[in-house]
Amino acid sequence: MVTSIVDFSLSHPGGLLSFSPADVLALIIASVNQKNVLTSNASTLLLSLTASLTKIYTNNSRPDISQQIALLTEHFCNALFPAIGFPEMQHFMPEILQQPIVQPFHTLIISNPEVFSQFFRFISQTISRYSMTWSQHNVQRWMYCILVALGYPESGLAFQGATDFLVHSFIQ
Amino acid sequence: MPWRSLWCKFPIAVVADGKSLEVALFFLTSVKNEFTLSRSALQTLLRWIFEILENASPHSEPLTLLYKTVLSFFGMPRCLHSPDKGVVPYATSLETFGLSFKALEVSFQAITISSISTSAAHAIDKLIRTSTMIALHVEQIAQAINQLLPTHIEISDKVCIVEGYTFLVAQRVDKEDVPRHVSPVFQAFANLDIDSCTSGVALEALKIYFAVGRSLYTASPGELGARAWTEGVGLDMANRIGKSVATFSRRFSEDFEVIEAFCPNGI
Repeated sequence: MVTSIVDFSLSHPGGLLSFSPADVLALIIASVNQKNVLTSNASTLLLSLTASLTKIYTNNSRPDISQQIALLTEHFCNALFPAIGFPEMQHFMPEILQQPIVQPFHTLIISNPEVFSQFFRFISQTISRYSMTWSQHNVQRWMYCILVALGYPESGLAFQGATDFLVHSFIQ
Repeated sequence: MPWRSLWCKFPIAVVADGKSLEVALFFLTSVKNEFTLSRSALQTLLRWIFEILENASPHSEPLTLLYKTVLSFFGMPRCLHSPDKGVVPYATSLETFGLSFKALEVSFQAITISSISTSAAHAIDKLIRTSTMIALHVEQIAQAINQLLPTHIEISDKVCIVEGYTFLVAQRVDKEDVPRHVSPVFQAFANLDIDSCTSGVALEALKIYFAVGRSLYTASPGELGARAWTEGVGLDMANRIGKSVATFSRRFSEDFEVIEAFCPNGI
């Protein structure tokens, strides 16, 4: 119900249901802080709401909400991914999938493919207007995750989400 | 024997006995199944039905069935062929015979009875959306709904009525005056403390708020930019929703998904 109301208000601004991006940001961050994003039932809905917010505010007629998107990205990356130090590299090569560093991502994707599917959707929505909010460290984390999901079709929704991300990024 | 000529053989005088009840049900069912009555036959049928309803309690078993059938008839989205007006909704035919208020009264009585409350809610929704006579009494309807909301009827029935009322307000009232007419719905929850109530009670309030907000958009999407929503009672209501949503998500954070499962179409 909460996400339905907020989602509706974002698509139909004004009147009785009126939530600003700052309101939505506060709502999502408060919810994320309260729970384990990987195990909570609400995480998928929160990520779906985040993707909707990003999509709606990608339209140039809407104000720029880079600050909110950067905070949301940081929050979800910290909540979803392990704190791993990554090797320096210019490009992501398929050989990475052979290295032990990807194992934690493999475990994560299996644990909740739906949440990662929604996370990839959110990231793909940031490409056209909010890619300047991407940090090197976060890009590495989600790109590892996307590569692992692409190499693991049995992950179902996560694989689908990773594929959609690639398609979306090629179109952009 | 053609139904119309059969109908003419049952005068209103025999209303009180059991057989006339059966005949009333038979004809209502016929009408529901797209049997077309003449204007005069329909008028006679409706007057007859109201006569039965006025003299009988819906708590008795056979009359519950009659109530349910009548309420379904009021609330039906299908249309009735009228020789003079072409195709009209059933609720409009009540209007033609000056029976809209009686129908609304019957529906408000019936909504408190759980076995027929859904039919009654649909009937109320249909009547207040379509009747121009009822539309002249927006404030009285608001009062009736305000009294109904704290009762123990099903939330889906409350939502149905609130949507009908909001549609009426959005269609008939000046856009700057809409918040004032919507506020009685919110006043029904004036004593609700969102910081201490149960999740069920809080959820019910959210569903009603959402029903109002969504219906305003559906009924008149171009009027949500009215100044009345950025000041005074309009702003107060919008802020109340914002606070309720934030408090709900903080207090019942794990109810997100469960709630969605209970809320088809976001209701």
